[in-house]
Amino acid sequence: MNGAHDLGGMMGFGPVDAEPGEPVFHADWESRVLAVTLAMGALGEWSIDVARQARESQPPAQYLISSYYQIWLAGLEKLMAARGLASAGELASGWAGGPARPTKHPPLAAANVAKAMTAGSPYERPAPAPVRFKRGDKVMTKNINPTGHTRLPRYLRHHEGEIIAVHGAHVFPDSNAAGKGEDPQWLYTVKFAASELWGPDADPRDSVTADLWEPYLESA
Amino acid sequence: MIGIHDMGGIMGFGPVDPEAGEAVFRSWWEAHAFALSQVASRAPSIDAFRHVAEHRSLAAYLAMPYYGKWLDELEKGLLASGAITGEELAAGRSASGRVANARAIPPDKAIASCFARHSYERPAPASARFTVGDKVMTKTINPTGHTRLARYLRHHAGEIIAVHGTHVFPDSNAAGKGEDPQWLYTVKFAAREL
Repeated sequence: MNGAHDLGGMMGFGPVDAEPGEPVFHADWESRVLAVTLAMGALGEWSIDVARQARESQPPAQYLISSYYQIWLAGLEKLMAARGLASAGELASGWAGGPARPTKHPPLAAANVAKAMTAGSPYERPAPAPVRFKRGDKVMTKNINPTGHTRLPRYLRHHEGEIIAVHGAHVFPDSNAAGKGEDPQWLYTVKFAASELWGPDADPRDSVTADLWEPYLESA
Repeated sequence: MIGIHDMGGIMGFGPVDPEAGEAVFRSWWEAHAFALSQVASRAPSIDAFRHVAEHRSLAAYLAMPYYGKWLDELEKGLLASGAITGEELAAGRSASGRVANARAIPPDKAIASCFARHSYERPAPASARFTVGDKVMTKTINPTGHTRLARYLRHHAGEIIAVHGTHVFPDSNAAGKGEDPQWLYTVKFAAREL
């Protein structure tokens, strides 16, 4: 969806203030939001793509006044409520009102957290079809306007680029977020000239590269 | 500029709630903001006024009501031009009892001005390039200043369906580069093209 998260090309935010010696967390509650989000993710009730869609689909005015971990928390609360894992009353009080319903995976035990974190979550999958493009191919991104989650941002739609890397087949976020399964697709790095995206005012030396899935691309 | 005002294509705002019997002004301050803008604006042109309105932090733009933006801009213009001071703005009263550089407009003229239709049509500087039925392509441009070419209409094919004469070009006028009149067209785009 074209939500407030799809910031590429938007102006008016003012300067980026780089904070010297920036801490990982600006407040204790932020570290708790990260931990609770990962713990809830370990229950297997939703994928990372579903979680991203929940964060992105907040109303733009709310999204833009929220800090990074406020957005994470709002997305998590939305998912917990939608999946029956917490009632509105429980979220308001901060306490469980009764026993939790069974989840797909059991809660992650404290002793297994470090192992789970270092293992990571690979999203590469066996290729379902032969690769369509190779390095050097000219491609055109599709002119699409999905209301669901997508990793093709607005400013890269309907533009010509060049394949500069082929990464194997990976979980396709657009399908996965919609609950349509992992639907693995070939993933490429595509390079776009800045002038192709932004017109003659762009610096001719600049380019943008993005990792894009095959369903976003056509031969140019 | 691509500010949050350039909303074409942005999703997630939720439903539009049309208000039955919607009032012209929801509260008295909105009417005052409108009236003050008519008589006291220091913006050099409507295009410069629009650019200031757009050029605001995205979150603040979305949080402000319509006339909140008008009032905010009026205040900024009056402060920048030295017509009022920050202390006067906070107090709501003129410190000296008079306004610097005032060009007072009598009430009858102010009312007439509110209802006057200002024309932005100007003599043509050159002959029209397109005619009805011509296929055109909007340019890929990315101006940081004011523009009336919305983001979602850039780099797309359309068809000229009306020619309106030459009008003040907002992109130039907002930048203080003069009226720079240009031919104005109505262009039709298939939704599938966008």
